[in-house]
Amino acid sequence: MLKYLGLLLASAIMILIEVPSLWKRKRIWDLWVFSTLLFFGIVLVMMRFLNLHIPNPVNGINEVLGPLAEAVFQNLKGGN
Amino acid sequence: MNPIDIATIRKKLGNSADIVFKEFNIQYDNRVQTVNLIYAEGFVDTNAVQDFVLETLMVDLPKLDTDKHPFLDFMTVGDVQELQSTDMMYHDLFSGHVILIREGTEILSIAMSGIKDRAVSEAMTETVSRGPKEAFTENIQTNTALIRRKIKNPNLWLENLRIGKMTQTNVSIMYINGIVTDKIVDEVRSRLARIDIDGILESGYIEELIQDAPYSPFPTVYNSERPDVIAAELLEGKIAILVDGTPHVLVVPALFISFMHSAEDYYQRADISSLIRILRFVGIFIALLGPSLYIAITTFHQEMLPTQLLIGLAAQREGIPFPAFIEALIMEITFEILREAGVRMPRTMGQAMSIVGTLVIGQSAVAAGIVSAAMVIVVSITAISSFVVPAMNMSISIRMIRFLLMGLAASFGLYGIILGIIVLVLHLCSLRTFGVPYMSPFGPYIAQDTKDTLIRLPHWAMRKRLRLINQNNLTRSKDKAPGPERR
Amino acid sequence: MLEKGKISHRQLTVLSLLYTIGTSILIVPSIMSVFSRQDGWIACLVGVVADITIIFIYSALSSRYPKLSFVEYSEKILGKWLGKAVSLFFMSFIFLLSAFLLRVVGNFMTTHIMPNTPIEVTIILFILVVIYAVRLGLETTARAGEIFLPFVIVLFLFLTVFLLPQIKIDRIEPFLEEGFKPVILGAFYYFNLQEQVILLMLVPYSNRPDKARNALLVGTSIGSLIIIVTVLLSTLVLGTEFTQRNMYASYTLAKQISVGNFLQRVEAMLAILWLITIFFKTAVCMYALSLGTAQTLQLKDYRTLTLPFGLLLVFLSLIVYDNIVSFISFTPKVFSLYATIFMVIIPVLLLSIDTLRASLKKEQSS
Repeated sequence: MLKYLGLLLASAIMILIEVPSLWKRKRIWDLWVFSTLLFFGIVLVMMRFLNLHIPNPVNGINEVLGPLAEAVFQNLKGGN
Repeated sequence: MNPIDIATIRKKLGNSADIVFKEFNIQYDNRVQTVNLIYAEGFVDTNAVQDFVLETLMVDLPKLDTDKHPFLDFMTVGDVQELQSTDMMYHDLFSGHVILIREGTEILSIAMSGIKDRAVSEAMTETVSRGPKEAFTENIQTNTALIRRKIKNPNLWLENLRIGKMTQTNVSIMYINGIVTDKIVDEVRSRLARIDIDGILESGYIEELIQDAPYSPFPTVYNSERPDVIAAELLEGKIAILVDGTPHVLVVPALFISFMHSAEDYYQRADISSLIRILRFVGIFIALLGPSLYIAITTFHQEMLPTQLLIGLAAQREGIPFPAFIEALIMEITFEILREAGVRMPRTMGQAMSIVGTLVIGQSAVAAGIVSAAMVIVVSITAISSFVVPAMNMSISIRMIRFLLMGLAASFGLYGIILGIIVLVLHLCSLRTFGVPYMSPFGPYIAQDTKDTLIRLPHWAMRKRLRLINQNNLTRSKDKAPGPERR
Repeated sequence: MLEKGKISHRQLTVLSLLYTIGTSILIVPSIMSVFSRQDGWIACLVGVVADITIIFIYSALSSRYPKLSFVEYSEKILGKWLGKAVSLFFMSFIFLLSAFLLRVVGNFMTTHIMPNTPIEVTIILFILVVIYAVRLGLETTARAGEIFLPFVIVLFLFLTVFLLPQIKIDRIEPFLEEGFKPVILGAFYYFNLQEQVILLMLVPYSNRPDKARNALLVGTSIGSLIIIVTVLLSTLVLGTEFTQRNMYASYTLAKQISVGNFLQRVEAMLAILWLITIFFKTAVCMYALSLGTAQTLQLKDYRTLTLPFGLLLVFLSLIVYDNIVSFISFTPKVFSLYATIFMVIIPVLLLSIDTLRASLKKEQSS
């Protein structure tokens, strides 16, 4: 429970810091970007709290570059 | 100009008993003129009024033909002004002037100040073992004279203003024309002009109203009660702000490093004062970090201590019921209370308090098992170190931040302390004082200006003024190192 | 312009120096000795040469658009949409890198300095400080760098001097036991762990963009020298096997210091040194990330992005790898290849396209 409260508090503080000044200066696009990023952040953190599976970008990179990386390593490593 | 009605003035002043109204008629050539004399009791020198004003009026004037000439021509006093309206009159009246109104038309303001001021005495807060002892007084005229006596140069300029809707306090800006950067003077002028307050009772009011970072714990305005310090700052191209009624003169722009310098650094020989400065920085380091390092090491990083010391500390702390942080907090707060009481208390009680203080803190607290002896040592060293900072306001800032760092150390150990210091440095670097970066010459780093910072080079080596403050006139001297002339 | 502050030539040097020391001082010795064994320092040296070479390419690129940042001129060169896509791709790299940096801080702190503090707490604290720095702006961060630099140098010299008595020269022998291949491998990994390309985001905000190359070169060289000395010392004092087994070899190295009976347990100094430098590396990355994203998306202020990015970074840094083993295998092997895309391929591509186009234009007009 405490962690949800913490997340809520953190996002509330972020909104309090950024939104009023953006609103006052009519920076609607900035506000959109801010809200989208914050929304993503909150959703992802929530997913982690709920122990849902989150795709790790590192695994993706591993999939794509892994074989090549291994080839580089095997070709250059010493001791054979 | 409308004829001035004395009754109106009397009414405006609320018939205050300390305002003396004196009306008399001067008779000459069978004509009579009414002259009114107004002054505030205690402000004017009554003997001088007797000798110069009254005698002129009653003895000399009847003999002369004053009909065609204004009184101004006959006054045997130096500082006489004819006022065009009654607006200025009240201010003059309460600055020790005698107001003379002739026939309700001509108003003369005659300076006859006889107010009893404190004499120039020794500096109370910034003491030195070598160097001039005199300090400013509450009188702004005395103070400007004290500065002028040190810099006998026509380029030492003074601007007067009055600030405070009710108090109409005299405030002066002083600077050396040709050294000072005009942009900074303009900035000071505009900030002073923007002040909107009913009363200025001390330069602290002005400081709070013109400083750059109102929410920062660090002072961005320097103050001193020593004429020699102010003269030195003026020579560096800074601007002094004098306020009537206080011996504390403000100096802007104030760099962080100047709060760490004492007047005496410049009077002792360079090597001595450099070493003293290094010692001072060590003291500041202890004052800032002493308790927090102790807390962090004893709570989180015991492995950093040599084994024997660790065993000793552990044995001491065995019977202590509190964690190190609470222990330190108790001691620090006790010390702060003692210090504050020491300042506020009547002087005669000092002896009693120091006995209570040493006994309570030093002995009984340890004997009673509330704090450990090591903590007493840490706190007392820290306390003493915090008085190494020459500027009182900076010392208070450091003490405040010490408590924050103690909290960080108690929760996150060394990690918290380092992050705290990073935040502290970032904050310091973000500050500006009248457009000049607060941490210069270190951030931004200006090699040539570091000659008078952590150490002090000899005067003959410091040939340039600070680059960010004096943009146009940098050269202080062209001399080479002294010594017997080489042929 | 999103960033109004200007940093001096000297400040750019300082920032790139601290940036270069960054993570490397802690994790490079171990990686080097894993892949190049006792020749790690030679691998570093080769890597540094590669670093310096690539800086010449970078400066050739940035000198064509001295007033623009990397993100801005990639849009100029590749056209609006392709340029934006490349910029966002670049941002994803910085984003991932920042998450790695955060995770390394969290890991090191929880394993060596604060074992009982949850890693989340250490990471959140750190990112808060970084966000504070980024929000204060580049000027302030650069000034803070100038203030911290002497401490970093003094701490490093202190550690080095007191390690000298424990050196055993035969530990780096024999040279090139297995030929050049492992050295090249180590150099390749070292080079890609430096990520100097991110510094290109700072170059347009220096007051003398024409001198920026010098600043980057000097900063990188001095920083790299410090890394090389650390790698060399690790091998000379700890030996190859011991260095391989310690992920934070230089921390273990600092533990070896013992002068008389009183000067020991000074490894905290290395932790302080490293924490300061990685703070600057993370701050530069986070700054480049926020500024670059803001420029790509045409926001009015990059500060708006710092807080949500902070949240996302904390999140990503916590999931970015499951355990230390996957980090050790991923970072040098795969991440270096991934970094090559941004370190070499994209800048070289941008430079060649731009040069080609410029010469085409010249031909047309003549």
